Amino acid sequence: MNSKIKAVTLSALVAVCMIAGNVLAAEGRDMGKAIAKMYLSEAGATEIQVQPAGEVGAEAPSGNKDIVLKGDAKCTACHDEADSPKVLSIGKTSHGVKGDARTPTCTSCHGESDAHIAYKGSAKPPKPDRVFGKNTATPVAERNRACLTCHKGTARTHWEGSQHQNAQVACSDCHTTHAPADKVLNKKTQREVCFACHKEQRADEHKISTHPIDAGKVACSDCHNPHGSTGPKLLKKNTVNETCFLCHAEKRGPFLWAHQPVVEECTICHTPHGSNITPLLKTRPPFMCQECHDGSHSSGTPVGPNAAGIQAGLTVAPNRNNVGGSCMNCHRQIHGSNSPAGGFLQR
Amino acid sequence: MKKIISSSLALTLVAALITPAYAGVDVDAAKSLAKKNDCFKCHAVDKTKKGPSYKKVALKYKGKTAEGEAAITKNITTGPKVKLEDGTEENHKIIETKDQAQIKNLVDWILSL
Repeated sequence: MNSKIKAVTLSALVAVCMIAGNVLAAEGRDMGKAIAKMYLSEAGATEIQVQPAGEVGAEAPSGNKDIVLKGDAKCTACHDEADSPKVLSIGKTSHGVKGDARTPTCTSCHGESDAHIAYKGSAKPPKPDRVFGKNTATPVAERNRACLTCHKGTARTHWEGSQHQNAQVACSDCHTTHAPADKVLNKKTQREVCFACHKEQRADEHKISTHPIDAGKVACSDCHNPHGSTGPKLLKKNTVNETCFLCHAEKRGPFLWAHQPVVEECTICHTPHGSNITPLLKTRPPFMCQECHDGSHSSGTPVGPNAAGIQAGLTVAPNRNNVGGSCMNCHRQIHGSNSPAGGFLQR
Repeated sequence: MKKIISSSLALTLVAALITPAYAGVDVDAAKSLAKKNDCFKCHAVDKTKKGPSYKKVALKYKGKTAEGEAAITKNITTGPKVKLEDGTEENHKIIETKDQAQIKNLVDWILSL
């Protein structure tokens, strides 16, 4: 009896295993069917005009029709949704607007690449004329020429001779052309691109007093023009102050009582990317102030309004009780005052 | 008892016959190997490119698994001259791996489509 039960159980088990094997095989076939769909969805390329899949056994050659851009057939015959769907997602970018006569095609940027296209050997074909990847052999100037042919003037007027150009930075080091969303063009993600090289600024951003870069309210490009500038540090404007005043307009003046360093350059007192002394100060008061104002409170030596250091011509004797205090506790209008009685920048 | 054993054996035999040889194919590995070796530049799963679609290849060798395996393996390991869909000829790309298990997995995946 026992042996009978064992035999029946064994045969049932074998049958179950075989059926499971068939189910898995069928699943494998289904997975294969889904592969084309997977490729498209990975790149979010479902909206791109693609060649419909032919029926098995009734397939016709695609006839090398354009898929995304005018004249792209010579490239997309190989680089289609089956091979590299991410390439096709250029159709979702401004480089894929077919209605615009200025829209380039693959060869506008990558070159005619005749050797690449005509290759028929068993090994890897030669690279296209211009390749923009990370370890490409195409020289930076050659890569940039492909972009600057169209993207010239306006904000890129001062590219030649700029810090980024001199440092051999390629457009493609920061920009992604085929991706639907270029990280560097988005205020919230731009910092990731800039901080990939500017690591000191990335560290500064984590200090307690910063511009709200981390919060995505301020982007590097709010102050800097990475494509070249007539100002220092690739600033958008000609001077530091002009750039800061784009947002901090209330500190521009002119004031009835001006504070000279404010007129000269904001960075005399402030550091723009981050500081552990709020608000973005370079040194803690009163030491920072005493770098110019050499101790009128401690000496009790009278000074005149709007004067740094020990001056002749008194108004009132500075109170010694305030030695060591933060100057801005009293001199609150430190950037300048328009009050007739604001000579000491207190009101 | 004899009846039970013989019926179990028969069932096992039938199940083994209807189970394809490519049941244990690793689709992701095959796809990854094909991608790495630029196979999808000339072939697609269900679209005719420079070369036939993999479904067309699978259909051609349906029921002739051994022949299909031999033909595909020869193409991807020796790089013979092959006729393209447009009638021209060129050398087939040679796969970079020498790992026979990987190659077999790729061949089985193609035939399983």
